[in-house]
Amino acid sequence: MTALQPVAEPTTISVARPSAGRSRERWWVPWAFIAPNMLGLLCFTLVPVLAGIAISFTNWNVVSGLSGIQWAGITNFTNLFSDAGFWKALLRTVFFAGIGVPFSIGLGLLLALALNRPLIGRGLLRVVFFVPSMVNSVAIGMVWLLVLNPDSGILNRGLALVGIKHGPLWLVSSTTALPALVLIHVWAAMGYQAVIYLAALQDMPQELHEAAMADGAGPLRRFWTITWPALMPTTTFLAITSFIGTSQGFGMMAFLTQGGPADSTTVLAYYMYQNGFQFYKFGYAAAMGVITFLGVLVLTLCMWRYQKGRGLYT
Amino acid sequence: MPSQRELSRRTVLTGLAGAGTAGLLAGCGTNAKNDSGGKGNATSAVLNVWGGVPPETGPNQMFAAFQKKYPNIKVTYHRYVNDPTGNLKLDTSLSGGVDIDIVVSYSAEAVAKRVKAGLFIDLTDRIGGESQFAKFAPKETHPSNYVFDGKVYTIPAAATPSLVMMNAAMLKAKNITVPDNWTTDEFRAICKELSGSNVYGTFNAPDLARQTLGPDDTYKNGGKESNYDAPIFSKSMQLAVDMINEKSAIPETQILAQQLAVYPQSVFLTGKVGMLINSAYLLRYVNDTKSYPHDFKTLIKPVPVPEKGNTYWDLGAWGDFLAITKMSKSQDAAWTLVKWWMTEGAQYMVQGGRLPSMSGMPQDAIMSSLLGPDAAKLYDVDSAHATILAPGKKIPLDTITTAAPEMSTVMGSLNQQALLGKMSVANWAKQAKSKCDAAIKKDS
Repeated sequence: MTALQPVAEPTTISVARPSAGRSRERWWVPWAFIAPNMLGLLCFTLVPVLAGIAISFTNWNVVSGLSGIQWAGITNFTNLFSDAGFWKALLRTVFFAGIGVPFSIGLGLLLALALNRPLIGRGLLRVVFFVPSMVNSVAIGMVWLLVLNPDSGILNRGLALVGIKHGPLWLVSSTTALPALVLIHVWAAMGYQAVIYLAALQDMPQELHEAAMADGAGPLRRFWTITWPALMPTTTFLAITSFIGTSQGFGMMAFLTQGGPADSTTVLAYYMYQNGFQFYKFGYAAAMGVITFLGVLVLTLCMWRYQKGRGLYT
Repeated sequence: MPSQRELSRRTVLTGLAGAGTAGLLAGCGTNAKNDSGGKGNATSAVLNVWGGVPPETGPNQMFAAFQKKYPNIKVTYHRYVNDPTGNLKLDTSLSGGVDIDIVVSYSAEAVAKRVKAGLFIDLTDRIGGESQFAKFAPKETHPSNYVFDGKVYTIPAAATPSLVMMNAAMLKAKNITVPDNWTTDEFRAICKELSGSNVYGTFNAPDLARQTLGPDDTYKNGGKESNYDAPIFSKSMQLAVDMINEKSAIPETQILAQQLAVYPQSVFLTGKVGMLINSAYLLRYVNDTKSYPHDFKTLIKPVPVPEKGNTYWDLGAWGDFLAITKMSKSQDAAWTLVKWWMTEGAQYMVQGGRLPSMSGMPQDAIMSSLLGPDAAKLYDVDSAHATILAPGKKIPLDTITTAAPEMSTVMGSLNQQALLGKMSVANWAKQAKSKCDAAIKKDS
């Protein structure tokens, strides 16, 4: 029988803790580290945002300088509610984002699922689909301008080959211009969505799929019970960032259609540009910016709350 | 309970934000408080000029010639693009205190905005002191310069008449002779004759309302109301729509698809349209055979009028409104340059299509500069001389600018709908009247 050995006293390790006095002396150290970032944030984000909010309560045409700023109270905001142009632009923005975001995310997901399977030339295909999201919107616009030309564009020429002699007028018809811009947006964005989804798919534990397969689950069942919930955080991230991006969509409209034909592509960002840069109503344009910001914020929070508890990892 | 430190951080952040805002806004402050009196040395200075004409199409040569005559006045030319973004860049520079001595403005709205903001000096006395500039002094009827409360702040260096550019080869092939004094009906008939498979008689139809009503045609009641209920507007739009429908004018769909509103010369110089109604500044593209190679001569005729025997307004415009800024430290030297630009300097700007607003420059020199060295090869020179140098043109000058940019945007959209066939002309007129009235009311 072994005699019980007395348990050794734990060695006390003395850890040098900064005294409260020393901590107070060096309070500036963390500030020094974050200062460059804070300065950038202040100058290039916070100040313009605050200035934008302040300007929304004024009438200002820029030309008159600071002395020309006139306090307008909430007039710019109340005028917005009776401005038919604003509401129409809002509806077009909702259409653009409401169709463009789900389609680009859906197609991005399908693309990612396809590119996640063993394929010959998979690496090349991934690059090919990702390229549009790296290209400047003006360059994309130039290409689509040629593709969508009603007479000489390859799309309508292709349609003519299959018997549709009078294809849509695309960007030059007030009926088809906005859907055409949605099409361009989806094409340009889905590669980016696919790459993000692909990263999430490759990070997914394969054991779950193997276990489900052992239990006899088919591909669809595995997708809905494993893949989709596992991708929920990625989907939320993509939905929120894409929604914010598309609701501020401007480049395509400015370059391809200038808000036309007949205002049919005048979305909120373009309407803001018109009021600010063409009509010199910077207070009114800023008020529109504030309302848009609040709208996007509310919808983003709703999306965030909706996904909580639905994902596999949450 | 917030600690002392949290409050202190907030204070720091608030302070920084406040300082940043103050800094940002201070940058937008104007330092221009000088009056129209003399300032600086009239023959020695460094002048900064902001204009919209590309430097290689006249300004470079003009300023080089100026500096030969006035070696002690150095000129730096800064080109801004005359579009909304370019004008905003200029306006923020002006109100932000950037060193600018002379500004060239190109529209009534731009001039009015800058004058009302107090950015330009009063030129009334300076213009009054030069007998050669008498027509630019303040006057009520048929003004040649913008007048604000009886004062003038600018002086127009250019007056560009309108004209019709025609493909002489197409006319010859159809054995068509175009008279000098012709009507809209004759114009339409010729356009029909010129049209064929994928070829259209004209790019555009004349603006009958502008020809008939002249300056401020879109306003009535002193600018308190829009004038789109005047029947001549519907008549003008109906002409444009009918010509598109009968295929004698290029369809709006092609104009939009190829963005031809900005580059109308491309379809003319490639033979897709037989005629193009525009101003003399487009002739520089006819001269540019590297970018626009073509093998036909351009015939130039006056714009057709609604009826023979009546007098109509020209569709051209006064332009290149020169102004001296209040912030300029060399206003006298700037006036020296403005005077020279208006007289001797104007000849250098002709190559860019800026015809001088003052008579006095030899007409042959104007034409040879405008039509370039290959004139005989590129133009029917006689028709160009006869049309461009014809006396008695009434060039309108708009004086009302209420809601002008808003009305322009509204009309751009409505015009597209009517020309695309999405809206009847009657509805177009009704919408134009109500929307422009609303814009005027909002701006008043």
